[in-house]
Amino acid sequence: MAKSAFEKQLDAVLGVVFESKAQTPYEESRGRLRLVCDRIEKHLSGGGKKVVVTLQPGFKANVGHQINVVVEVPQRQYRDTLFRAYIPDRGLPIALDFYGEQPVPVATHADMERTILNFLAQDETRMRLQAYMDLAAK
Amino acid sequence: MAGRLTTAFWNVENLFESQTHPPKDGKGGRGPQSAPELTRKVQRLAECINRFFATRGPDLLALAEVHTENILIDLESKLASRYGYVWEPAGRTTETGLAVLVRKSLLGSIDKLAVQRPAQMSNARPRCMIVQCDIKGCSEPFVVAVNHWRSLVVHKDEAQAPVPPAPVIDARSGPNDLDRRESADWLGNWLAITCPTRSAVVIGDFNAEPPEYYFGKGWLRSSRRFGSALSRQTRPTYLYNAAWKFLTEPLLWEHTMRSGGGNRDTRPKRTLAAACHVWDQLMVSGAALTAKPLRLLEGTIHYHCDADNSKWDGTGAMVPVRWHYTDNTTFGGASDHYPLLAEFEVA
Repeated sequence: MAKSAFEKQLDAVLGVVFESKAQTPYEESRGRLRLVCDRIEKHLSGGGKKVVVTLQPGFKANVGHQINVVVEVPQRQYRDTLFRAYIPDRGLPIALDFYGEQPVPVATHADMERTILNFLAQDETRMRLQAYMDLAAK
Repeated sequence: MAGRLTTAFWNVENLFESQTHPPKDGKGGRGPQSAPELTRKVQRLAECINRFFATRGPDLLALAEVHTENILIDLESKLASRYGYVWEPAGRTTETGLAVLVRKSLLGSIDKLAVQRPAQMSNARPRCMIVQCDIKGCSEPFVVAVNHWRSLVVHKDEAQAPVPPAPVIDARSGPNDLDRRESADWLGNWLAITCPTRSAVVIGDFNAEPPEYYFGKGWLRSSRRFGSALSRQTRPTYLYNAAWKFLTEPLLWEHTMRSGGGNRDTRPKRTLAAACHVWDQLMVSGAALTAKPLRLLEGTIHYHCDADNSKWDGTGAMVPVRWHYTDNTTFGGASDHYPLLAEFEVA
């Protein structure tokens, strides 16, 4: 069946979004965050897929798009938000919210990685990560 | 029971274990800085609570900004009556939890039904805890939602050094706003879906004032007026917000200064620029206005003020006095919030 005028326009508009080869600053920041989360997922799962870490979009705020870093243990139907990031359209600075309180701004991707590492090194966070792994191992 | 239930909510201001937030960068710490100070503050709070309702004390007491269960137990031990309680801790050791205490002589049971944290973030401070109270003499259990929503006040986390350049975070359209939207949305939906026709008491420190949109349609659905919508079964999820009475009418000069004569209707004035904010609020479901097991006695709603927790400021307004301590002979105040008190008729 031939596409309607609206469908053609829709393809044209969304094609620009989905097929664009040039990476925007926002996409670059999101990609860097995705890489960090992949490493966390790999560590928590020990190579398998028992623990899944996903980036889930939330609201848009004046500091950027809210991205929830969500840890799931699918076999236990468990879900928890590890932390949240706010990425602006221009990519930087990113604001990281680890405790549901005031977000911490980071000016570069290297700063983002270092700040996340500091968060992961906290005793409370390590205990939480261990709890995810224990749940997945049961 | 004897016909009346006395209820109170109090944000007890940074009731942390000592040295949880020590002084840093030339700024004073948050909360007690020594064991004697903590003991003295708990004693001061207990003395004040014991004076509620002409020294009868509250039958039901909801608390915010209590750091640990140990502190809660210590505080309870200093009250004039014994209380059963439910406790929801913070998700991490530097934040505070929520508590609801019920006088043991009246207590049938008290059960935690639900807790809201932002985005299911288990290490965030709880914004709302909903409990079901079964009180002796009440024909059926009722629901209490104690709240401590996201604050606009910024405390820089000592574990996280901010890295310049910092983005400008506007509390009214940034994460703080989203956080409170989430809390309002969650609580409004929970009440609508889970207990649409039951007696519900919604109380707490909302860190927002009654006119703000979080309390309006589509969110928490509270109403300024005692209207038929509250008791109509087709719209049972509305809450009556009793806090509007604490907002003031505009000053005359505001009318005079407005070009063209302005709006001469009386209207509530936001108090954001004033020394006191109407952040501690009491709301009730329609069922808690007219039906069993609870009926709000609106004339009894008041902020408890006495010589220990309040003073007259230079403008003639009564304001709460924050807790301050030098040593066991030099201390004063109790909290930067007033206790909010109300009575209900029970049947």
